[in-house]
Amino acid sequence: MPIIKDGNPVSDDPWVLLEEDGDVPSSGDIIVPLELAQEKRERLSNHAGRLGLLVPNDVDVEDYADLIGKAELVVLQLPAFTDGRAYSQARILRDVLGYEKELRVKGDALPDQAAYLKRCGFDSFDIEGDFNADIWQRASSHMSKSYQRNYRDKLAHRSL
Amino acid sequence: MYIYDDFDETFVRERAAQFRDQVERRLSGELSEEQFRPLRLMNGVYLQLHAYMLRVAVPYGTLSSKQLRQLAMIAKKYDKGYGHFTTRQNIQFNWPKLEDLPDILDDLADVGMHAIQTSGNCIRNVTSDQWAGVASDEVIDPRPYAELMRQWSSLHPEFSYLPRKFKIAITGADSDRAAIAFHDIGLQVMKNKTQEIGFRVFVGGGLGRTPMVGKVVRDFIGVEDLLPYLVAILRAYNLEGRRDNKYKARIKILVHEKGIEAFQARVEEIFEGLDKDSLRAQKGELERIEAFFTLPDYETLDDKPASLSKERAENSAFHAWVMRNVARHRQAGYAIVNISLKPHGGIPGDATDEQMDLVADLADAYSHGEIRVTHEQNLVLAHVRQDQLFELWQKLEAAGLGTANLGAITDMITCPGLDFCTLATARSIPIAQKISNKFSDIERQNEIGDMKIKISGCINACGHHHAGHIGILGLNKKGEEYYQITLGGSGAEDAAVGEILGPGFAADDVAGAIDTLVNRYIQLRTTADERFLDVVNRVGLEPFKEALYADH
Ligand code: SF4
Repeated sequence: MPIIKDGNPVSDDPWVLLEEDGDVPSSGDIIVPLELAQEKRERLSNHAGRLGLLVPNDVDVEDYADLIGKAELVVLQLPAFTDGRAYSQARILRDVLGYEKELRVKGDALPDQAAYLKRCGFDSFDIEGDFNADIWQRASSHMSKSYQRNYRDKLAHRSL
Repeated sequence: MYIYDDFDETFVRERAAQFRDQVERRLSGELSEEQFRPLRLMNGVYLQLHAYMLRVAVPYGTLSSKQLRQLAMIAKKYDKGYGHFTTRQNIQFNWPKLEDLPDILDDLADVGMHAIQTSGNCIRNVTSDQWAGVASDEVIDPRPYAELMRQWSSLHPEFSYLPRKFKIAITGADSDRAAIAFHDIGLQVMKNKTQEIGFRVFVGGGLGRTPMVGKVVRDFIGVEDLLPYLVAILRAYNLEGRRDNKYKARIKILVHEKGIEAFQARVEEIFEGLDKDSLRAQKGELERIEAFFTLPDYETLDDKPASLSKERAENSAFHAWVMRNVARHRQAGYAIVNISLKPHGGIPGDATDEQMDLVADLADAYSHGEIRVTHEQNLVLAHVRQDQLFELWQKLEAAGLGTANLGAITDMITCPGLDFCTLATARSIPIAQKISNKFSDIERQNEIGDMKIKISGCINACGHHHAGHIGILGLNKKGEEYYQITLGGSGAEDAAVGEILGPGFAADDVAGAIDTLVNRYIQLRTTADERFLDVVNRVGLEPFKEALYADH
């Protein structure tokens, strides 16, 4: 399950994903499932290390605005490549909640979807299956223009 | 009509190149059929019973003569010499080869066309009134907004993996010829009390196995806020629409299960939180688009010229065609010509490459080079001089395109059914053909008057049977095809879902049953103007049931 950033695999990703019902270590860069993070709020406020959140794709992210405000990484999920909820969650995180740290997508992301995901505000990918840099690069760079404004575009609709 | 600039052109070319790459990856086995499926679907490629099918977008049903000629070329070169116009104003080709598809997309791009989002769980081609811009009852021309939505919805990063397909229709006239109440979103362009232009927004309409008439979610939204408001609706749907059951995944089910008030509140809440400026069309963009939709330079002509009266008096076939197929134009001396693609006994909505070429030539000669496709699977020449109608009709007639049956009983909407479609439970084309043959007498058709028969080959209702004055649904019981009849549906401004009459009929008995219903209607009507639908609404189903089932 490689982590992809800027079209390349990352070999030294520091983040460790915790189990749903696992213990919370006192240090290190940890990705905490949202529910567990809620439960261990107190503990996490003294955590020596960075906080990441694993967010299920059926929650309203606006309900967790304050937790998300403390996170340095948010991981949204694509349980199937046809399940597009994370795209809207990403836009809410970015455009409504103003979340600016790393946004990662985990799951069944096809290279052909990478461009869409980036445009919605994702910066890294935790993909299932093999990574082929060539295909990934080709598939995600076909379209140089878009009719909609993308995350971090200064330019408006239709002017890229 | 709208003409691509460099931006649009680059966009469709890059998209075609992308699809070429995807097809190559599929052909080399790098992509499995399962992985290829959503990618091909977003380019309008289906796998049908016998072959791949390509559905090409005709945005809001408008074509230039050059585009129609290119479609004719594609039909001839890559298909079996014909194309099929659909209920979403698109055209589909039933026999292309997978390896030819990238070339076809390039050919389409050459004339500013594409197949983007004509299938898949994304925002589909936006449809509109085929008489937009010229109808005598139009308040505001909807086409600039339709084009704006075409652009906005193309490869939308957030809304390309929705729970299910999403269809938007828009009209700007009093009579609803775009069936907006049967769309996921229906928009009616209008002016409010202060003369500001905006939209009434309907949501959650649709056919399929759970037909529903759309409900008003916003009485008025100003032009500026159209795109942000669409984002709010789509976002609510993308996040909350059901993904556990394909048959419950359309927005109509979400609206129904949540209730329109709760859905509306959710949409408003999302809308309030949006950074609207970032979602609006760029400043000047709508004006840029609008400039393409100015009316052609009409000449100053007499309305109803003497020559026309004379030609009508002298030629009864021409007169019959004018009566049925020619509609009032907003400009004096001009007319809207509807070309029926429902020849008696033919396949509804099919056109051969020769016919397409001819219509393109006629559009150049008589109608400012523009053609419209209707959701009732016919074609329109929208700017014809009344003093040239006779000449035009003679040419149409000679090519088998002069059938005088627009809006009549043989002007049926019919889905492809079991002859092509993998989902079908029964055939629909042969049923349409039998009905067409039974009622081929034009005088009889005129006596019956306005009638909308709509036929679907399965519960998915692509033939809009729920919205037919008479709806016919093909089903299958123990290997036998049979047909359920509904009465009283309408896809117009009086939108309604038809009701089932009773037990179904075998394929051979359907046309006879329709005949019985029609005869009963003629006995029941009080004036010749009372339409079949009006009578059904007045007297209910009982008299029709009696007529049909009395001796069973
Ligand atoms: S109604 Fe059914 S048979 Fe007809 S085209 Fe749609 S899915 Fe196919």
